[in-house]
Amino acid sequence: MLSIDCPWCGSRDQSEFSYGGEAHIVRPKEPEKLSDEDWGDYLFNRKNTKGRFEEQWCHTAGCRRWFNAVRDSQSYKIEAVYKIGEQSPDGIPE
Amino acid sequence: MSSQRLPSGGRINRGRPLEFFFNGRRYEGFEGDTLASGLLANGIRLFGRSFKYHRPRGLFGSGSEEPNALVQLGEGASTIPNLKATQVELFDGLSARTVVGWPSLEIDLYAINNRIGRLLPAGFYYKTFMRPRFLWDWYEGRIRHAAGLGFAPTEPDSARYDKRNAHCDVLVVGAGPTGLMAALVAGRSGARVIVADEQAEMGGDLLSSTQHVSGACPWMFLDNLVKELSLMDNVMLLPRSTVSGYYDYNFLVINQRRTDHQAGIGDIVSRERNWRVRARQVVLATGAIERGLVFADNDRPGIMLSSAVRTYINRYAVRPGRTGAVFTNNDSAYQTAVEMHGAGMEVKGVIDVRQRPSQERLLQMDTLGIPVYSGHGVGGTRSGRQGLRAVELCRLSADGRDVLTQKGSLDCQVLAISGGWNPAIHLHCQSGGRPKYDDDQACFVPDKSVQSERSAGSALGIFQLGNCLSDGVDAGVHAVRETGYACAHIDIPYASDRTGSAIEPMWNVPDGVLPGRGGKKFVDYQNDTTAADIALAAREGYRSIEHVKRYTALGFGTDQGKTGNINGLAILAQHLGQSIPATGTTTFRPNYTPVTFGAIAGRELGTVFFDPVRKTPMHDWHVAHGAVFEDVGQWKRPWYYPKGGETMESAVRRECLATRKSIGLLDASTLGKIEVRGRDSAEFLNRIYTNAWSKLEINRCRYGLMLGEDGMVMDDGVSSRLGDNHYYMTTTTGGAAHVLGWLERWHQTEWPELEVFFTSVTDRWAVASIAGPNSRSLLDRLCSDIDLSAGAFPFMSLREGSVAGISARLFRISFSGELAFEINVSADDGVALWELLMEAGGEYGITPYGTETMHVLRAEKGYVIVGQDTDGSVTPADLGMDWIVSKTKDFIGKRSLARSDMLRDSRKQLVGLVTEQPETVLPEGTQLVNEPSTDYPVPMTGHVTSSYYSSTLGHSIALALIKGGHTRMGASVYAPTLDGQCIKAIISSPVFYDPENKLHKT
Amino acid sequence: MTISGSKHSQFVGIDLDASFKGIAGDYGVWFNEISVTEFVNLRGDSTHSGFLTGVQRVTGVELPVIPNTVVRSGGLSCHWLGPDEWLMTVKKPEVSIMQDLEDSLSGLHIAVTDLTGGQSLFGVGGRQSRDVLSAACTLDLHADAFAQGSCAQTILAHSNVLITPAFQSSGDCVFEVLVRRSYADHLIRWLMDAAHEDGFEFRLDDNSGLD
Repeated sequence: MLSIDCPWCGSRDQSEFSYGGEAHIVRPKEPEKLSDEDWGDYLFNRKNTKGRFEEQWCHTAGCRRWFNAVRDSQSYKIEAVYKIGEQSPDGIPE
Repeated sequence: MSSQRLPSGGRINRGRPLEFFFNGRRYEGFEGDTLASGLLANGIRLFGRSFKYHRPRGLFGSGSEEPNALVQLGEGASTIPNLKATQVELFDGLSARTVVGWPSLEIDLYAINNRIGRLLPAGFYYKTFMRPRFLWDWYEGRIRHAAGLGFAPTEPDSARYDKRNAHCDVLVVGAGPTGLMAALVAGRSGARVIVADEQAEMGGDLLSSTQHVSGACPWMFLDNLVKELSLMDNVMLLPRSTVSGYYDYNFLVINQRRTDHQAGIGDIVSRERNWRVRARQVVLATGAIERGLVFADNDRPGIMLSSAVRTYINRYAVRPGRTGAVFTNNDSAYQTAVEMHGAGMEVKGVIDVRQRPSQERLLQMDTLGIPVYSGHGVGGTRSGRQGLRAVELCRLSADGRDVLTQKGSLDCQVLAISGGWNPAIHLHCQSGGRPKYDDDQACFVPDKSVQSERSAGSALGIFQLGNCLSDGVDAGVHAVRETGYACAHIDIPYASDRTGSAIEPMWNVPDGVLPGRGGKKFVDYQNDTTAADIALAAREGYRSIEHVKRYTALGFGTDQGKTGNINGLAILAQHLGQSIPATGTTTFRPNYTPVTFGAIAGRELGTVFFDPVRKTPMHDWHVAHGAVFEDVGQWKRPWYYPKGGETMESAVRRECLATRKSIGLLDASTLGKIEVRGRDSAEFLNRIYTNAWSKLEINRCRYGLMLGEDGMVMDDGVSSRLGDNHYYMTTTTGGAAHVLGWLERWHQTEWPELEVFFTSVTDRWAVASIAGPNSRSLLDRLCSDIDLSAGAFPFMSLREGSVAGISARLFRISFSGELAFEINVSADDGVALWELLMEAGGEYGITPYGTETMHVLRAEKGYVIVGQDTDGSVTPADLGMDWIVSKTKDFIGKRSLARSDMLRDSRKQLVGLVTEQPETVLPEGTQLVNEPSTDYPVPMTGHVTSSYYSSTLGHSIALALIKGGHTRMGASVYAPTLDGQCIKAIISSPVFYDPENKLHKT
Repeated sequence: MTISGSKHSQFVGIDLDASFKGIAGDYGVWFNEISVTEFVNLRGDSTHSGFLTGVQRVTGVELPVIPNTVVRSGGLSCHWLGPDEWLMTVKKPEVSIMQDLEDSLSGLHIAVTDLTGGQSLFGVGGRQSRDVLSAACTLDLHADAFAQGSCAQTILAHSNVLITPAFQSSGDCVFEVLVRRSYADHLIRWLMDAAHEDGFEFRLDDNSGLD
């Protein structure tokens, strides 16, 4: 059972949060111009990172804010949290 | 049986004698006894039979490490199987029985297994009963009967089990000398402290000790310590509380047993409490568990851990026998010889595998007249009816691997054995830490901490009392500093520890006979795993300790191999010719000791507490009027309102006809309702819904469909425009929370530049929907400030006004195909509105209807229910709803609709079905095929999503998703049923009622 | 004794005579209704000075911008719910702030939403109140961690709630629990069950602490 630092509410039990999967997936500006393959990539393909991984969480039962977290997928340790729109401490992903 | 109770001493209350029953016989003990000590005091030495060979077994330990003495406590619904007699506290009237032994403990017919033991090696059951496969069920039943580990109660347990969440600065696990000192430091420093200990009394090893602390007797020291802690408001002491699991982020679960030690407490107090603790710092003062020695016939009743012998004598004032001996490879057991002597036992000798025990110990034994057999081992044992009678002495070679000479035998009833000490590193390892092998002390100790925890005292491999006390203080200071408190001063108590010589590992005591000829050498008593089984596993090619565990059952069971695991892996290491650290340990997983299902479930049971029950403002009216309820998400919704013994079928028929002919009344309060406000509201709705919203006029309503980004239908509902930048969205009952989250997510993460806010108002409004040709006439009587005429208040529009004096928002929308009004009022006014409608509607025969009638009415109109007629794989086109999909703007899911798979002709499409026999109602969910073939497998062509009998139409109707269905109107499909029939149905339009859409617009 | 049909009662349908003394021989916990005349949800941009002053003009209080805090003044409480969201409760029947807020903030990107009737507020007090709440709430309710002036949205008995501790002059703490109306019946039954050992009673007086 994780304890997650909401950027607004501080440390709360994992049961108050919901998981949003990989962060920094930007919706294509003009979807109709994408090939089926590129659209499918946006829609379905996700990293399966071993180690530090940027992902989205929402403090569903609290302030209802979405935010990003860098979580180590091996140790489950959340190394950092940052608000939507802020840059990841790991820099801009390739 | 003579009493073995010592005339004085012990922590028992001799003023409170207790009577108890074991295997039906009556015994007496004292308050403070365990079942084990109480029976031992009555001279009982036989506690059970072993799992596989049915050998007689006695007490081996004195706590949760006990492998043998398993009992079934109590009777009936509250009985608990497989408790360790060493952990069961005596109370007046306690009744327990052994779990293994058939037909009785003394005469066990399965003991034949012991004679044929050579034929039952590791893996025997796997190898023998694999074939023929069909006989396994029979074999399994026989094997289980023979093994017999107690029985689960067959009735529901009436006891309460509950939970508590807790937070603390410092959680101290284990209230021995180390843990109590850590708790004292933290407590005095003002930190919030929880101390959990699995025993009934705080004190750990101090309870069994005679060693003075700071000049005082250990119990006086202990009493003062516990008293000071119990007076601190910031310290919570939890006895009888096992920390059973250590999870991520310092989340630990404590299982507290609250009533099983008391008789007749009733059901007010919960039987067990599951504490879920988030600790900032954890001190693991879990102590160390003594391990046994592996020698021939080492399982006779009377052969006990040296520490257990000490505990029975000092803590419970019980003499485990008249004569005794000690067998050891380390110094700690010498103290047991001293205690046995002090308890009046005749101590026949200390058998020490080491060639040169320390001079100080030899001198100490010499003073007491106890012979020491250094460089000796026990080559075998002999037993009588009551267990151990004699042990055979062997002179060992210098390397301890061979027997040089047989040296006769020592007659004794008790053999106190010590093979060394294993720090209880279970929780450290559960927290993510690794075990590290300490060669000098021949044991695994905790390696680096991964979480905010620190092992202390003997859990860290510190085995001397004085050092434990000071390490406890150190651990407390560390925890206090880490949590930001100023550390209180504390005087470290001192204890004079003896110096001695080091342990010499002895994993497999030689017996001087050919392999396979001597007595069995048990490694794991509970699973009857022997040294020979491990050797066999190694010979058969097993290398990993995890595999050997599963092959030989080493370390399974209720004790999880607490006394035998390390011996077992060391024996494997010897056979594999590798070191102990290279062999490694098995994985330490929660739970440390067994946890009952009751404790895990807590109060989250049954229909009341398992999940919240949401009720509408009119709920009590529905109850009072006999509604039968249906669960829709967490909501209770009236399903139908049977009258005078009506069946569901006849009630629904009546409700449907009343609505179609006059007026029906539905509680629609559960629909999700979201206010959407801000300059960009329309733009936002454009992106969320498939259709366009910018041109919707104020006070007009529009139906909308939401897709996932994958193009699949996600939710639907009617949304209305209340003002320039103000919309009111409704969602499905079940989808409300999801949709709000969906809107927030897109807004917060993707389009934060849009000025829009969403606020849930689901609970704020009570909604009564009236439907039917007379609904306008009824409303006319109650509503004077709104022109209800079709021209002034057209279909798909809304008006604000009052209904019978109650301020209301009226929507002209219909889910039934009839003229209908949805009346929204403040939740506080819901009941009043409902009752007024019922009263005023009396002359029209207004009929309240439930969700079943609602479903029939909407199916007659071909309206889908998202989640029933769709399943996450259905697009708007599949539903025949292309008309609602904008071609000109982008919206979520749009691009997916153009993917090649979406354009397939063979996609499942929504159609209507009419059965050949009008009365036959297709089962919902049934698969459909094109031909009534029995040439299996028959290719499936679709499935039924909704199916009802329509009393309005006089025949059954169904909605179905059928491959290419839109182009197959009039074709036949077949529904094979479970009873072997095949129902024929004709594909039709899904709109069965009022296909011209005239009625609801009147 | 039951309250039937009372317009604002969250205890409708609950048998208020179910009160009983716990193992300590007293009522370890009590529950009472807290009547609120208006619940208003407010959304807006707290970095916009016109917004903050506009709210203050109507309510007389400074909107709390520190997460999980509450500001109370003269029968009005303003709870932080999110960086752009607040809940206002008014306990005076003669006062309504809905329209005043709309007027005062007109032209700004805001949302003022009347939630009256859709929310239930009740008090959980008594010696064992913290213990009973902790049966089904993972929040740290200790006075050091959850002090006067704090509030928190969390989960209590599987229901989303807003909990606000109200410390009385005696030092006792009453926890005000706000829950959506449809969950209120479930929640109160859950708490009654959780108070099985400690005993509980219903209090009809509305002594909801500091305002």
